[in-house]
Amino acid sequence: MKIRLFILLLVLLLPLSAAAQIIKVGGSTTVKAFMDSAAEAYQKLHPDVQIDVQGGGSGVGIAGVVDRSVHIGMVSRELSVSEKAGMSGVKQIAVGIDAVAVAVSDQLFYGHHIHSLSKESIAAIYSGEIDNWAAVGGPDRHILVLEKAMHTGTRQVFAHGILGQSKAPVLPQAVVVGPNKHMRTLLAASDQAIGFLPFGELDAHVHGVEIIVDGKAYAPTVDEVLSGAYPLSRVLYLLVSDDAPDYVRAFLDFLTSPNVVRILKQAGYLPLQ
Amino acid sequence: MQWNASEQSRHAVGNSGWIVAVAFLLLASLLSWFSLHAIRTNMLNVVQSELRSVNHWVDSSLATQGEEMFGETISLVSEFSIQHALITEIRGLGDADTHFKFRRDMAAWMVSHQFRDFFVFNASGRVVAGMREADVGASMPEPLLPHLATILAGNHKLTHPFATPDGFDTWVMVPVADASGEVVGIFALVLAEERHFTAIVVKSRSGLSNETYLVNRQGTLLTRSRFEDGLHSAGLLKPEQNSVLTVRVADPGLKLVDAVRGSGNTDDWPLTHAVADLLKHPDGVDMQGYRNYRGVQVFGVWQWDKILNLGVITEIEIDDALSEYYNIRNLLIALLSGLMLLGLLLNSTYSRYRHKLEREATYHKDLLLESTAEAIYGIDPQGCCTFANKSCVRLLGFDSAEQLMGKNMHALIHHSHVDGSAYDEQSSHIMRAFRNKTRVYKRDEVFWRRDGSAFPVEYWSHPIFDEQGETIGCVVTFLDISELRDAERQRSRIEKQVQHAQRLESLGILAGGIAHDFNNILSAILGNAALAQRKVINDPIDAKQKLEKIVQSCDRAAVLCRQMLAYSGKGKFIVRALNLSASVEEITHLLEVSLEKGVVLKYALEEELPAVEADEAQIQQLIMNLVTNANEAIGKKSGVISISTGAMQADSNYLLDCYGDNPVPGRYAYVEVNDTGCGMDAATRDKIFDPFFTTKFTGRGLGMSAVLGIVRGHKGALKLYSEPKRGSSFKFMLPVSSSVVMDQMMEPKAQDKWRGHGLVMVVDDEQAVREAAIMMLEDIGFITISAENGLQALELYRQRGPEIVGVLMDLTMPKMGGEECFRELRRINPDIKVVLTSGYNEQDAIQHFAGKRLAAFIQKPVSPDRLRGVMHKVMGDDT
Repeated sequence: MKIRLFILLLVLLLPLSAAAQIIKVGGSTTVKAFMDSAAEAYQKLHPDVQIDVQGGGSGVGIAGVVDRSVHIGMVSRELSVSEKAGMSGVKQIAVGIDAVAVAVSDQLFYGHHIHSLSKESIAAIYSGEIDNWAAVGGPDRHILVLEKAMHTGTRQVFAHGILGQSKAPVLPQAVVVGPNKHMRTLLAASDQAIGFLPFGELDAHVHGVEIIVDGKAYAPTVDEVLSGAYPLSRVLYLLVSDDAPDYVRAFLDFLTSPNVVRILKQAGYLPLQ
Repeated sequence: MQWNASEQSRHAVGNSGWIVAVAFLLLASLLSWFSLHAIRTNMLNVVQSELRSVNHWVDSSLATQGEEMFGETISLVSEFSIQHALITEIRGLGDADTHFKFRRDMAAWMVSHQFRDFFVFNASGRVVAGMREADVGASMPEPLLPHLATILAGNHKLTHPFATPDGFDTWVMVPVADASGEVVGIFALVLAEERHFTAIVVKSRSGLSNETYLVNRQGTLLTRSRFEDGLHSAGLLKPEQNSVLTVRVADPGLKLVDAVRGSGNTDDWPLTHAVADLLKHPDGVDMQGYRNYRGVQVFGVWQWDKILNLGVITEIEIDDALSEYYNIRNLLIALLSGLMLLGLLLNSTYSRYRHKLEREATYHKDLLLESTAEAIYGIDPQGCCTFANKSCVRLLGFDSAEQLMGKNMHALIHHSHVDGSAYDEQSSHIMRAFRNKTRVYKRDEVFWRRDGSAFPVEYWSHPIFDEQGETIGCVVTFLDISELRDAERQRSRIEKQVQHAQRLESLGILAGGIAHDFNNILSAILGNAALAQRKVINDPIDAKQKLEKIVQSCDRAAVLCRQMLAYSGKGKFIVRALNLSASVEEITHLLEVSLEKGVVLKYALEEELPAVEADEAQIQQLIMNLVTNANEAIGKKSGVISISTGAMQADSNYLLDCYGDNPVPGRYAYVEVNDTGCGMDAATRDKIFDPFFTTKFTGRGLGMSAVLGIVRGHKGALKLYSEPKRGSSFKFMLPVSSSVVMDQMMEPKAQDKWRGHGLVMVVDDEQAVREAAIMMLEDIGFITISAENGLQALELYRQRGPEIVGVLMDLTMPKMGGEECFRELRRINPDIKVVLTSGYNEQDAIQHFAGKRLAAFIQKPVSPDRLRGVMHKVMGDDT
């Protein structure tokens, strides 16, 4: 009787103990776009592991790893010196690159050959100094400026690269959209809009333009990004403490393996190699 | 070697085992079938209700989403600034700047409400504002024109997807009214993908094949198929083409897999059962299964949404819906097959095990049957052979048991009696074992060999019973007793020879003794007679004494004569009650004369000894032999032979080491002869009773075998104890007679002074005997006449019959014997008193003449006292 009870308990507890392998991931929503798919893929391979992915931004990722409220922190920007100082026993692992393109619609790209814009022109458009496409060689048409919320990673990359500081103010007359998808929808629907999107979000009707810096044009291509010359890009990092359990390390190994390249690309990011 | 009956019963058991197994399997299959049927029915009900609920969910989700969009849109256009801007544009009062501002105001709202474009139409269906300046002035898309009037009439509309150069679009359109409430234009929004019908039906998908899709009245798909990849690979869709508005929900007639496309033009295919039914009825269900647009057998549930004017169809592949049922069914089939296999395995294992046991049993049975010297065969109730062992086959002269199997054994080996007369099977003792259910033993019949010769057998027929106690066969065990019979004949012949020789030998010994004794008696008679003769005148008293001594001597001589008679062969085997002590006394004083000088005889005889039934002559010979043997054992040395008699109770234990023919426990009288002679060793003891075995130089080796023969003949027992140089002890015991103790040899104490009178006729062929009798009768007081034989006696009796009071007659006479004469005399006078005399045994004579009114019988020799006593008894006191 006792043995039976024991076996029953064992049977009941086994899934519980397996379910106890929960990996908590938190931080940058940029990285989360990739992490969600990666976690799903990993859970298919390891049904006993449960991965909880939360957003909140890079700052949340850094703080989470430091206070051990998450196993893995997601960060989509370079760490500040003070942040680095506060993270003893935490490893920083690069998983991909988020590159941002300045994008226009079919009508402007093909119809009016807006293939390249200088960094200065873009900055002028986004600061309101230029409000007509004619000023940059396009048709005589108002420029519909599409913006994103200041705190988002993509906007920070854009603002850092174009406006000189990542927390540059948003133009009042700009249309501020939420997800990249909305930005893309509007870019596709409009014949006078300008916006910025991660490389992966570009499609057949929304085109990235070359950015001219110091007279030299940088095309929004993977090669340019990997060469390091393209101005609007950032490295995506994962933070993990040295004392993380084995099943977390196993997941990290998966995230840095070639298996995830496809997932990374689907999320709009570029692999490191 | 087989037991057919048991073989059959085993077969029966095996068969019933199979029947039980098959019945069990049938029952299990039947139960499984019923259960499966119930499960299937239940599962179909569950599937149907699931399909129905999914279908309703999709339909209500469509309605909800429609209402949401209308609500959002109407509230947008009701907003003052937007309404104002709209009316401004519709009235054509706007310019590029107002367009741009309106566009900018709309952009964020639009994308955040999951629309991707917008248009403003005036009442004539022309674009007055939109996302792109270039669109201004364009006309409403062709497929939407029919809705123009409806919307201008104040209704709002959610369109079906319609084809555009980039694919398809779905619009929501609401009327725009001015301050007076008059509809002046139309505000249209293009749905983003999230708000397409497909987005809702995708959410309803579950399992492997559950799919809900929407169709219009033409049977064209309004949502993307869940299995677009399959449609692509089947060639139904071009690459890059999706299924909305391109796939006609028609039955391809076969399952579309990979590159297999249905035959003919897709427009010729009939609409699927679901669509065909939808065009006729508002809703429907098919749980029998039909082929859907992919050619796959499905269950389906459908309904027509009147507001959206489209059909909502929910389907699931039959194989998917019933997969659980198929799993259970396969599991059950596997279980049943497993059970069957297990059963077969168990059965074969069990039958192998049983065969092994049978083989072992047969081996042991064979070992027993074949190793025994006795012949054994079995028969069934019809008398036919069921098995036979080697001994049986050999004794009957056959080569193998197969030649006997199934044959009627009675007809084969037991058909005739020993004299050749036919032996009816039903009356045979073997069949009697069947009828009476008892064991039968016979040893006086013959069996016939194969070659037609007969041999005497001893057989046992033992019936075999089944569980109900019915006879199912007999086991017959037999032995060839030819040799035994020969040995018996041989033994009886030898025994006769031995007895004959023994008699001769003992006669010789006896004759010596008797001659010696007789000489002594004669010497005494002669001496006394001579003295009496001389003194009869001078001294008559002394002479009388001498004469009395002569009479005594004659008595002794008479005893000797009786001995002689016993051995002469006339004694034959005359059994009568006998006192062993008397027998010992009688014989040993005869033997004393022949004992060696140094041998002393001692007696310890029990006087009150119970009588035994025995032949006196043989017993005397027996004692004589034992004493002679003891004497010879002592030989020339000095020694003691002690003879004791007595009575004892012998139990079976005591009788166990006795010689004899299975003596029964009981009361015995015994004679024990001990000597202090040379004794015997074990080897001699073993052979001492063998005929012709002797340790003596001159002996004939018959003495002791005769001793045992006589003991056996009297159903007695003989105990032998002997040690070399210590002496031997022989003790023979005879069962005590049931009749009272009597002493034949006791002389009647005749102090009888009775005197008779009258005429007595004495009949005897021997003159001396006749005269002695006459003298004695006259001495008693009778007057006598005499006759020499029966004829003379009859003559005399006829003449003087009335005078004669009695007749004393010898039994054995020439011309006419005593017996015949007695008969004739009785014919003349039935009351005649005849006393017969004979040397024969008195008991015998009395028995012989019982009921013939013989007055008395006196055994010779006759003494005066005995004669007086008998005559007194016969005549009575009145004479």
